[in-house]
Amino acid sequence: MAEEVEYASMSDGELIRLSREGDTSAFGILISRHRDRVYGQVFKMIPNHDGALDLSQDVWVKVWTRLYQFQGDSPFTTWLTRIAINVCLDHIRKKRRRPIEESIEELTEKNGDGDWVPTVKVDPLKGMAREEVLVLLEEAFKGISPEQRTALEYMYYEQLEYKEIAQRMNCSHGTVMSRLFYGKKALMKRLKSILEQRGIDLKIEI
Amino acid sequence: MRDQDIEKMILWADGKLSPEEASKVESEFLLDEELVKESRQQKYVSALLDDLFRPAAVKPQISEEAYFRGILNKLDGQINSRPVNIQKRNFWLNLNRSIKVGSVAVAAIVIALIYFHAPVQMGNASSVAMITEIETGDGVTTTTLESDSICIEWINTTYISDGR
Repeated sequence: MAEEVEYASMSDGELIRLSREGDTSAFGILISRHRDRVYGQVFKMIPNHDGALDLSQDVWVKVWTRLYQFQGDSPFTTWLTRIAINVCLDHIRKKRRRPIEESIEELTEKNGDGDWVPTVKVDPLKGMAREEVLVLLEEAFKGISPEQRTALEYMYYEQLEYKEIAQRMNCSHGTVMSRLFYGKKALMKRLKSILEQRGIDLKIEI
Repeated sequence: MRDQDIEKMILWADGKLSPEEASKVESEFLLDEELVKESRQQKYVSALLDDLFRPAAVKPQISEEAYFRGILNKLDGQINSRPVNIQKRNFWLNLNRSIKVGSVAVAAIVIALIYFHAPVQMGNASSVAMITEIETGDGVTTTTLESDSICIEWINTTYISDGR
């Protein structure tokens, strides 16, 4: 019991160090600490419970076998999130099925911002398989600068606050804003270009 | 674009402004066509990324113990107890490597066998098959397989020898 309390009070870094030495109790604490987040992340990309359960466990298997690769340059959660997304993308590349359920227009309205005039009226991604959109985005991400990509990943993969992004990237608040802005702009441009190559015109009309 | 416009747009697109602030910013954007276009794109990408990547607020529908057991099963017994674990992990890693190296070696042997064995098989086939050199009715010598020889002999017998 005393040992459990000791583990529970440890930081992720300490638990990782012990896990690398083969301490499964430490690894177990890491799992229980981040299990729901990993599951939620996987579920968002693979929205069925059986699939999400299976893949989220695959994420932990991958984490265990690659713990030696974790350098600690970025927080464990960043590394974990990246692995979760990669596991899902690998899975998606193998099977592409489920159509996207909500258009951006519907989402905007659902989020309460639908009153304002410029909402997305035409969404070519609507009807496209959700998995396909994820693969397209992954492709589009490759075309933007590493700094912009990292800022966007912190913001949308990990849902960090701007302040936290600035701390992690060791830059000012203004630089974070700029990276997010130009990152999204570049992402959109790249996405349009990829869609154009497939004969799809990505127009967002008022 | 000005830095303050960029910040406003990011905050607005990410839904970080209060309804009053958002409304004020929106009316500012509407004065400038470029800002309207830009803000629309920013909002689109924000909503798209948020929709695809923000973790869902769901939990695994099994107990923590069952979840952990599932991981253990996937690891196929790698994790058991602390002292044994490292050895097992190394064992599996080495085994995995060996299998990979072994697979490459086996593949190379198979390719080599196919490469060297195939001509031998073809040669064997030739030696087994009845290849005959015959002369046709027009005095042309030809090398042919057994079935063709029979056919030509039949033609010779039936049509040429009979003078038909």
